[in-house]
Amino acid sequence: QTQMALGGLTADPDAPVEITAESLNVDQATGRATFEGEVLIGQGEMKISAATVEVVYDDATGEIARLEAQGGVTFVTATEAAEAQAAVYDISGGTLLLTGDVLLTQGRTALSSQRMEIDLAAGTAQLTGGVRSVIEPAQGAAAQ
Amino acid sequence: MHARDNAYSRFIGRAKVLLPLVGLVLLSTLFLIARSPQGTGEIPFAEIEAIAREQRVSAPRFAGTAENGASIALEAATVRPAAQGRYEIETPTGVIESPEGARIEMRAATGEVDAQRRQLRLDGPVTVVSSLGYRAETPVLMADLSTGGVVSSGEIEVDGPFGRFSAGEMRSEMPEGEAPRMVFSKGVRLLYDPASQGESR
Repeated sequence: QTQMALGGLTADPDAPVEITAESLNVDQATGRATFEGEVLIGQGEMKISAATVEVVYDDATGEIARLEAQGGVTFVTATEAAEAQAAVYDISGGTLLLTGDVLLTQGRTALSSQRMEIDLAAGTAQLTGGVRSVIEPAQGAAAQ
Repeated sequence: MHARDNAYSRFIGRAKVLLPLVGLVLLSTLFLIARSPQGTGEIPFAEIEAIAREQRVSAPRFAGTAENGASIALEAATVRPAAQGRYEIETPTGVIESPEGARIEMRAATGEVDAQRRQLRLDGPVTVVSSLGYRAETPVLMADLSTGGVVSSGEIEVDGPFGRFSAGEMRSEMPEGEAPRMVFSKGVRLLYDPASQGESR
């Protein structure tokens, strides 16, 4: 398990979130709302794209608790890019959990693991589950 | 006992006959004469001519169930028969409710029912409210009275339970055996401001 500081993470958990997609399906029996078709979640400089994103919201206050993205997720900020099979973005908590073949590239280093928790407010990431890092020998930049 | 023929008995005999009669007369005047006949209200002939000139039903109410069990109720101010099998309705309000309890309420300025194709078209700003808290306004709404399906056309703004979003089209479907669903398609864009949680409603 490697504790790693993500530098230059410019995600701002309080910035307005814009979600665009081809369609939004609402299951009227359960109330589940799912964005489908090239879903793009944009917040500040952070972009998350996925095949489908389910909106989990609180009925009373209308507050979105979290966004559950599936079907191949890419997470991009000004300096990092990450890929995973699925992701859960907890908006109110300001944390992003990537799961399933996570591959993170930052500058010249690349890290892969099964699970990565990013605290967007603090800008830190926690990788767990088979962490491997690929270091470009030329510059000798090593993960802390 | 024979009435002795003194004056008093005779007087009582006559009084027994006369007094009730007088009472009766007094009573009848109370009813026959006292009530003055009210003026007969003049009949609004103009309105009657308007009504007689065209066939229309006021405050019609149509209710039916679609194939998949969705109940459909439609009310309007007036309905007029138009060309073959079509009816023009004014200020229609419709409610479609699926067996699972998902409700869609529609309100429009005018509408037209095509009985043969079992299609209902609503015009004028149509407001659609779903039981899940989705409220949308659309210029035109087509409702299929046989499947309970509803389709809007044109860009719409939707007030959803988690914020306001725009969509190219809205469709509410109640397929047989599947969960009723609303599909917003042709490009959906939601702007959610976490800072103002829920204020955007």
